[in-house]
Amino acid sequence: MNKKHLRLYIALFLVSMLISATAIMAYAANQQTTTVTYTALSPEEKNHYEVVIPSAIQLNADGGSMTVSVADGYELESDYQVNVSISADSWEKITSGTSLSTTSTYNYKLHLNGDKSSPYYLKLDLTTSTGKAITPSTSTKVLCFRQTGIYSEANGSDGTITFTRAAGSTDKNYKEAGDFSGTLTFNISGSYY
Amino acid sequence: MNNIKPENTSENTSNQNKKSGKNFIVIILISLVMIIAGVAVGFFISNQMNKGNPDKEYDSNVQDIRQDNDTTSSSEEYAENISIPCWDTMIMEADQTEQEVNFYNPEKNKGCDFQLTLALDDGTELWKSQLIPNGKAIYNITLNQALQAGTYKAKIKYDCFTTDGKSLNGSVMNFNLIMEEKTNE
Repeated sequence: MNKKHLRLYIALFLVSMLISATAIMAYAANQQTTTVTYTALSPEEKNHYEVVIPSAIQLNADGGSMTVSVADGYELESDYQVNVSISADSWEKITSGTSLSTTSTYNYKLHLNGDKSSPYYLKLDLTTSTGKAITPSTSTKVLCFRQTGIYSEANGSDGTITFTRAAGSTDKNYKEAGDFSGTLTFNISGSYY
Repeated sequence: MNNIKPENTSENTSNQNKKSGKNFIVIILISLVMIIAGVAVGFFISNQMNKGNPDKEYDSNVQDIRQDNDTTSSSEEYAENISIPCWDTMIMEADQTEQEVNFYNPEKNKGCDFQLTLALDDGTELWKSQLIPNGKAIYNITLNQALQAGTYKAKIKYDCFTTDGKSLNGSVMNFNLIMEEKTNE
């Protein structure tokens, strides 16, 4: 192989590279493509979220409030909604009446030192942000949310629960310093609508 | 004077012709190879230029994710709020008690321990945990009983406690439990 031939080979290589690159770039410019893909998630991957509940609430003698919400960044399917309600076990059920007709009353109480056998308690009425009573007899739903956010049309509530001192409380009879405490358990259910 | 006759002139010419013919073929072959190589390289370069997107380069300022700043005062024993992990469906393997799961207590639930109870909707308890501190998870459990293949309504109860055992608000999360037949690989 002499120099002349070497120059020929190099020239051929460069020219063909230039021509092919130019041709392909020109073709690509006229052939913009978009990859269209739909990836279906498995059932396990869908509808994950975190509901945020206050760990504990401090009330004064007349009551207080708390808010239940959903953590940012949740992803729900467009036809999926989540309802958060208060578990009926959070109330004390009192049944009265005769064997023919019974009436159930639900009381939410904070007992002295959390001891349910204590005769001293703060009795509270629970209501939603729209003033609707929250009881197992009526509705215990406090929040509904969908892909688009809180679905207030469901029951009008934005997740706020207001506690109001109710008649029948015995806490003021207790003359010492003490904590009247209780807990709430929330029911969380998702469904397609 | 001796006449010097060129020996085998026609043979030499023939050989020379053959040699130049071979050379020509070699030149052609190498030229073809160079053309093909040039086309291939040009194709590769143009592909790289089409794929490349300046916006997709790694940002040189990226850092490891920092822990969220703790906005609660250092004197607080536990977080103001509890994040409860929720989902719609969980899949387990039918006819066996050993299961892989992802039950976790989010890191942000400072000072809050979880105790989880997995049960069917009818109250049948399948599994119960010990305390799970925030930032920890359980990935393998043993059910109290194996379930046949099918879909069950189930729930997981979150009992929440402070680190010194005081009860906090809790939750019951309802979901669909799918028991699948194990597929042999």
